[in-house]
Amino acid sequence: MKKIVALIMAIMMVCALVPAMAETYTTDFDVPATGEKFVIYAWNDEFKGMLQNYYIPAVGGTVAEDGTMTLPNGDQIEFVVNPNDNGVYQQKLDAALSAGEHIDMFLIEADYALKYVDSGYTLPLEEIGITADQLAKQYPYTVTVATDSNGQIKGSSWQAAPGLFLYRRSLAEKYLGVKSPEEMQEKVKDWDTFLATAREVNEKSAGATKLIPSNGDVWQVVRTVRSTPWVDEAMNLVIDDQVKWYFDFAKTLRDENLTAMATPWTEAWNAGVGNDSIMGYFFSTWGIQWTMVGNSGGSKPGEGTYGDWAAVNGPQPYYWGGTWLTAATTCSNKALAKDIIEYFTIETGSMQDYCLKSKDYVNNTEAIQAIIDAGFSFDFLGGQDHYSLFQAVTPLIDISAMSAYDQNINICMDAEVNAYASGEKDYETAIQDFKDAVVDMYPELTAE
Amino acid sequence: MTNRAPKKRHAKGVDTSRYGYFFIAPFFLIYLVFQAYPLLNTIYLAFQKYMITGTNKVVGPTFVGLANFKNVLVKGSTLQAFENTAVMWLINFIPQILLALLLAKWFTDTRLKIRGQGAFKVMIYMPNIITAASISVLFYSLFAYPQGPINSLLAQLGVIDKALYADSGTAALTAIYFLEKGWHTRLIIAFINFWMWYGHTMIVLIAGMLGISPSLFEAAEVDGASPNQIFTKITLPLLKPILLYTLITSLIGGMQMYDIPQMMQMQGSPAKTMTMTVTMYIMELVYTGTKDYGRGAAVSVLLFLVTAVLSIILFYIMRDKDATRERKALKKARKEARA
Repeated sequence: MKKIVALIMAIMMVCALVPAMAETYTTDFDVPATGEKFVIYAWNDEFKGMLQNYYIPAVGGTVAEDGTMTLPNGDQIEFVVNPNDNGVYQQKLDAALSAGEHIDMFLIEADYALKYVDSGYTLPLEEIGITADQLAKQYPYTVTVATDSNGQIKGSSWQAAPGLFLYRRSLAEKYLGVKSPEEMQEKVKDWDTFLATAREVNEKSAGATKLIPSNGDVWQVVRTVRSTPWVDEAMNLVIDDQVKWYFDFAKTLRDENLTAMATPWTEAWNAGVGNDSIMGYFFSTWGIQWTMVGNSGGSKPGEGTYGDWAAVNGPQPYYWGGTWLTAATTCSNKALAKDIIEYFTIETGSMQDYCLKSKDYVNNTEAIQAIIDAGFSFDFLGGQDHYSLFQAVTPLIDISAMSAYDQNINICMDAEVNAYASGEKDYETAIQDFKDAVVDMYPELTAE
Repeated sequence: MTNRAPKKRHAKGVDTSRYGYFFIAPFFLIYLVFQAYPLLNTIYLAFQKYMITGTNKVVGPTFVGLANFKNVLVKGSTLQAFENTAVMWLINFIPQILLALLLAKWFTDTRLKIRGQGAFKVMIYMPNIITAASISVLFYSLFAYPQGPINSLLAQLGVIDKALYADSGTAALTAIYFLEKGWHTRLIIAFINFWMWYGHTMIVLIAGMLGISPSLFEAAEVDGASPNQIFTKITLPLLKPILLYTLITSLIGGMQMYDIPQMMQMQGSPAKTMTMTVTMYIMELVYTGTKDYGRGAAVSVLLFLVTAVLSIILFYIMRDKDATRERKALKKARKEARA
């Protein structure tokens, strides 16, 4: 876990250098000073870096060498960062919120966004002066996620998170004879073909290269294309056919040694991007610019695996993650919250600037269209325009399976699917233990 | 005008007796606020249904009698957690006390006269200085999978296939996934505890042994007792109070085992069912998913009861039987004398 933090920080430092060279986008700043620190809760340094590298320079503020951010009006921005691992971020955030500590803004992720959207801890955007009309250019699903049961919009996302399948061009050519992304897509167009391809890669490379890092990566896709959420309206845990399918798929992968057994976010999983042990990853928008580039072992084509990657749609259109900005009920400076949210999630100019420099995929259809029209290519992906692929996938994103319980229930399921795949438990035992664990964690739920 | 009052006090001298109460007051105040109140509140909460659900809705507190205890004992993982804790404590404590006794005996033995004792003691005690969390992170990395230091060592020794291991793609086929297996992880956790604490136990036992009068050992030697006899007939019996202290403190510490198993837990690892300790389970009930204060408090109360009962049993087993017998004999003699 420490390693991941260290790695992310290292990536941050590299990322910090890039935009410094480009021309700075500027915008007006007329937020009155409050004399208080503006406190933001987050689970990593990504948004902190976005403020330091984009927002603060754009409004004419200063970033000290130790990272302290000062706005032109003299107010400072402070970050409280707790990692997502094992649900730590939620624990710390909940404790601070229920104790009424001073928090101005906090970030929420797709896994548990609904929990905070539908709570009294977040302010409706209207209250800080942002109207629903202003969100018209955002992808509709991101607005739906942030809308509570009373129809009020509580948060706004700077990114859409459609997912793709990323693969190494050289390895695909070596083991599969594949020369173009179109041919590769044929090899992974559905899960049966995907499995056959995984076997082919394993066989041709004599086990030295695997198509995917672990079964957990498959779940990242399947979890978002499920037809039912984990918890139905009767507060009952729903285990549908797709879960059963995933258990069996995971077992097949493990029995036949078709994955590198590198669980997401472990050292081996990160390292796999830079060596030849893993041929492909499922990643969404942020994963490419935030995780893959940093782990590729290079920063320009020819170094490490940089430039050897390509993107295809993969077996199913899916999404992974996504971050929403929310203003906390205890927000002391609503004008600043409004300004930050507008800068990153509403204004086309600033979002386009951020998008081009960071290679993130912004939540603004107009900005994306403009970028694609101007001719976009990303050297990390061998000059491919993956934004066009993202643009096609995003309208297909279906969030009907999203629930407030996702993160913790998925962690419970991980343990059982691994126990089943390794042969330690049979399916019935694993499912029963899974149900028990979920009801133990959420006593208000039932599991039949 | 006369002001007699102060004069009177002067005449009597300064009354110092009540200052004693002022000096001990801070302890009692802090104890009341930070120990007694939470303790009583936990017992109170154990009988309430009180939680914040997964969607941030507050339920309770309402009195539910023993429902929380029933729930955690029948449905929850409480028994499993107690078993995990007990197993991991036992496999750490038994070798720990044996090794500590052996080392303490060697270091205190006047005939052995080990050189560089200070250096050895420091080195043996060293692991105890580092925070448990850092050591856990260290071991977590040592047992990394598929490629990691311990697996590399096993490959070098020929325990796992060297050729397969050398390639990052095929390493997974032969490397051992320690942190996914229940017993492997249990042993690693027990080993860390053992390694961290045997030095501490040894120092305590050395202190105990040095407290035994040397004349006893000399007398035994003069009488021709063998080193083994000296150890079992003199050292051990006289060390009993110290052994009891070590046992009880280690038991209480062991029952509250938290940081090491928590840090060794890989997210989504099936090993969790075999390595989750009681305190980890309490933390999970109270902080993960629904924040269930009622059931968390119920498990805390159970932990308190089990620790208390075990300590009482230990006290009973380790009591000074001779002293009790003497007291009884004395009483009897007095009775007879009276009669």
